[in-house]
Amino acid sequence: MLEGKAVIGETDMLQTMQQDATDLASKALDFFDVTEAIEIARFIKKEFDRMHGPGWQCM
Amino acid sequence: MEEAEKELERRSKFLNSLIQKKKKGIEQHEHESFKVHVRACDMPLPLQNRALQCARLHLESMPPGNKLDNKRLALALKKEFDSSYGPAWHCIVGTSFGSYVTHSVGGFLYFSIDKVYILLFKTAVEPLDH
Repeated sequence: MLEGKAVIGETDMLQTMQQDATDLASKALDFFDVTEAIEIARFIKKEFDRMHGPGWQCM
Repeated sequence: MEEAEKELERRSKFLNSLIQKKKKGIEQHEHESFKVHVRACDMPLPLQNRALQCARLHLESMPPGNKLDNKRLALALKKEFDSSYGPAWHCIVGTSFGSYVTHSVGGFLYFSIDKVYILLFKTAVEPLDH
């Protein structure tokens, strides 16, 4: 598990979803190298689409 | 003596005007030499041209030497496309980012101007239930 605290900049999202986002980001950084930006974005977007319905974007 | 002073002043003005012209020429050349690359797209050519033109105009309007305000460029492109082609357009501007998005058909453009990368895409808007 990647060490380090997730810092939320700005948000308009349910607390539970925020937690999902930070958990998935942490998970993505376990799976992929930090330089693999597109793979990280793809992973988070696809997981959010699966968990919370389609139409999510990730940068 | 007065004649000599007048002559010196005239020459000084002439040299200053040459320097100003040279400076303007350099600035003009800098603006003309923006390297534009379309990296990926699913967008009709007229819309692509509109996006490139809008981005270029924004960059040209910046005072030379000023740092690019990514947020302002993103806002300008998003507003331009929302008003011209309907909602909802999204724009990301930066020098280093990865992305994975879902876009409407014919509403995706990823391009670069010099070292600035611009992602512009459209998504479907669901009407709010009242």
